[in-house]
Amino acid sequence: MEENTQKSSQGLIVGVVIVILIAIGAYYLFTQVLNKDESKKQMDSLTLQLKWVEQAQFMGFLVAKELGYYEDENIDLEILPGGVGINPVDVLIAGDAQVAVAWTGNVLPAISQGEDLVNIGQGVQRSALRLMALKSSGIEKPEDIAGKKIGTWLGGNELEPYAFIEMQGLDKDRDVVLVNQNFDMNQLLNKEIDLASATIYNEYWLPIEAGYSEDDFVVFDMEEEGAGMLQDALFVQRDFLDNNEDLLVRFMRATIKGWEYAIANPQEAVDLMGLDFTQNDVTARDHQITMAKETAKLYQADDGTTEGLFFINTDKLAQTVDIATEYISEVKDIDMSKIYTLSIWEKAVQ
Amino acid sequence: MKRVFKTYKYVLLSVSSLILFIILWEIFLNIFHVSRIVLIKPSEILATCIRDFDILSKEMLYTVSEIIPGWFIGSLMGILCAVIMYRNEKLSKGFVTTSVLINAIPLIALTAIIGGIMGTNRDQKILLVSLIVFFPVFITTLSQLTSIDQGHKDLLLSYSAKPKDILFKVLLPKSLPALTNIVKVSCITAIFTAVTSEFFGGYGGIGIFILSKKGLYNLELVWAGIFFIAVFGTIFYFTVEFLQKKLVPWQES
Repeated sequence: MEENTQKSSQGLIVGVVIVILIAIGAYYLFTQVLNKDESKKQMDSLTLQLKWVEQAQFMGFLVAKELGYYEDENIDLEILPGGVGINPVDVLIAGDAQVAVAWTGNVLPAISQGEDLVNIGQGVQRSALRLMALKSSGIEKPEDIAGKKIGTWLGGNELEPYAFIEMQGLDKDRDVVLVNQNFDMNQLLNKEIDLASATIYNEYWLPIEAGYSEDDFVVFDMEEEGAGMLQDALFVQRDFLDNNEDLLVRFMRATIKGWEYAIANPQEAVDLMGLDFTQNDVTARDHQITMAKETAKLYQADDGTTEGLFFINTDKLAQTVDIATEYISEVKDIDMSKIYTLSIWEKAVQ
Repeated sequence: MKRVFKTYKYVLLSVSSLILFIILWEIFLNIFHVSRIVLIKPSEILATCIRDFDILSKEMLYTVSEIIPGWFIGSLMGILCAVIMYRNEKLSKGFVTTSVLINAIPLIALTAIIGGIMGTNRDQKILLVSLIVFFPVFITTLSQLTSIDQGHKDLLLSYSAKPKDILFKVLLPKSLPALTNIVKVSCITAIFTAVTSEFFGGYGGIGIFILSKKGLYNLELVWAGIFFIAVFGTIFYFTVEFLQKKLVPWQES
C-alpha cells in the first residue's frame, strides 16, 4: 500500500515536471514568433535613458512613443526609466543608451574627465531647482544658510546648491552640513534638515499637497540667485552623433512633436503616459498634472517659445559652464564649441 | 635571517603580492588606454589619499563610529540572546523565526523602513548594523550551545554540576572558537551594511562621500574613499583576529 502511494506520487511529480517543461517551451516559441513579427518592420532601434522615473517631467517623450510619432519616423524607441543610483551620464558613457536626458550642468564634470558628450537639444530652458526652508527656521536671506543642514540629491544633482553655497562666501565642506536628501520633503518637514532641494515641478508641491501653504516656506530660486544651470537636455556621444545624424534628426522631429502635443494637452498627456496609479489615487494623478503644467512652463520659457522647443541658447549654456567652472572644482577646461550642436535641431525643425 | 624569513613568510608573501598587483595595475594602465571612468592609476589614488587625508579620514571616522558600536552591540546581543534562550526550545524557536524574518528583508528595504521610523541619523546606521550582525552570531552561538555532546553533559550531571557550571565550564569554552570566528566575519558585514545604508540618506560618512564624488566624476576621491574602506576593513579584521587568538588560544586556525 505504502509503495503504491509512493509510486503514484512519483508519477505525479514526473507529470508536473513535463507539464512545466511543455509550458516553458510553448512560451519560448510563442515569444520567438512574436519577436520575429516585430523585427520584420526593419526599424532603426534607439534607446533613450531618462533622468528619473517615468513621470510628467518626461511627458513629451512618453506621449510621442504612445502616439506612434517615433514609429512614423521609422524609429523603434526604447525608453529606459531612471531611478535611485542610476546616473544617465554613466548609462550614456557605458553605451547602454544612445541618447540620455541629463541635466546639462551635471554632464560637465564627465566632460572635464575627457568624455566627448554633446548636447543636441535643450529641453528645460531655465533651472527648476529651488532650495526651500521653513519660515519658522529663521532663514530669510541666502547668507543665513551658514552652518545649516542642507539637503541635496547626491549622484549628480548637487552642482547648483554647491554653487549657491560657495556664492555666499561659504565653504561647502566646512561651513555647512551637506545631507544626502531622500526624494521627498519629509526630512525638511520633520526638521531634520534646514534647507531641502526641490524642483518646481515635483518636490515643491509635495508639502503643499500635504496641507502646507506656500507662505510657510522661504524659497531660493537658483535661477534668480545666479546659481541656475540648464537642466533636462538631450545628450549623445560624439561618435554616435557623427555616424547617425539622420536618425537623430528624425528622433528630434518626433520628440518635438510629442512635446508640442503634451504641452498643449497636459492633462491628456498624463493619462496617455500610462502610469500605474493605484486605484483612484486622485492625489498622485493631480500631482502629475501639476508636474506636466510646470514642466511645460520650463520648456516654453525664453527661447523655448521664441525659437522653439529644444533650442540651445549659447549664452545660457555659457552661463552654466561659467558658474560651474568658477564654483565646482571638478569642472574645468570646458571647450564651449565642443559640448553642443544645433545642427540636429535645425534640420529637425526645417 | 632565515629564521626571520620563516616567521614572517606569510606577511612577506602577502605584502609582496599586493605590491606586485599594484605595480601591474599601474603598468597596465600606462600601456593600454582605459577610460578614466572605468579605472584610474593606483599612484593617483595614493596621491589623493595623502592630499585629501583630512577630509577622507573625517568621513571615514564618521562611518567607523557607526560600524564599531553597531558591530559590538549586534554581536553582544546575539551571544546574550543565545545564552538566555538555549535551554528553552520553544522560546528559541520562536525567536529564530523572528530573526530569520527580519534578516530576509533586503538591506535596502530595511534601511527605508528604519529610516522612516527614526530618520537617517547615526543611530539608524548603528541599529541597522547591529540588526544585520545579530543574526549570524545568534544562530551560530545557539547551534553551538545546543549541540553539546550528551556524554559530556551526563558526566557533568553525574558530578551534580549546576546548569551555570555546565554553561561556563563546558558549553562556552567549546563554543568560543566558532563564536569568535563568526564575530570576526561579521566585521566585514558590518562595514558593508554601514556604507550601503549611507547611500540611502544620512548626515555624513564615507558612503555618502563616495556617492557625492561619483556624481561629480571626481574619480580620484571615489577611489581614495574605497581605498580607505579597504584599509580600515583590513585593520579591523586583523585586530579582531589578533584578539581572538589571545582570547581563544586553543583555536585551530
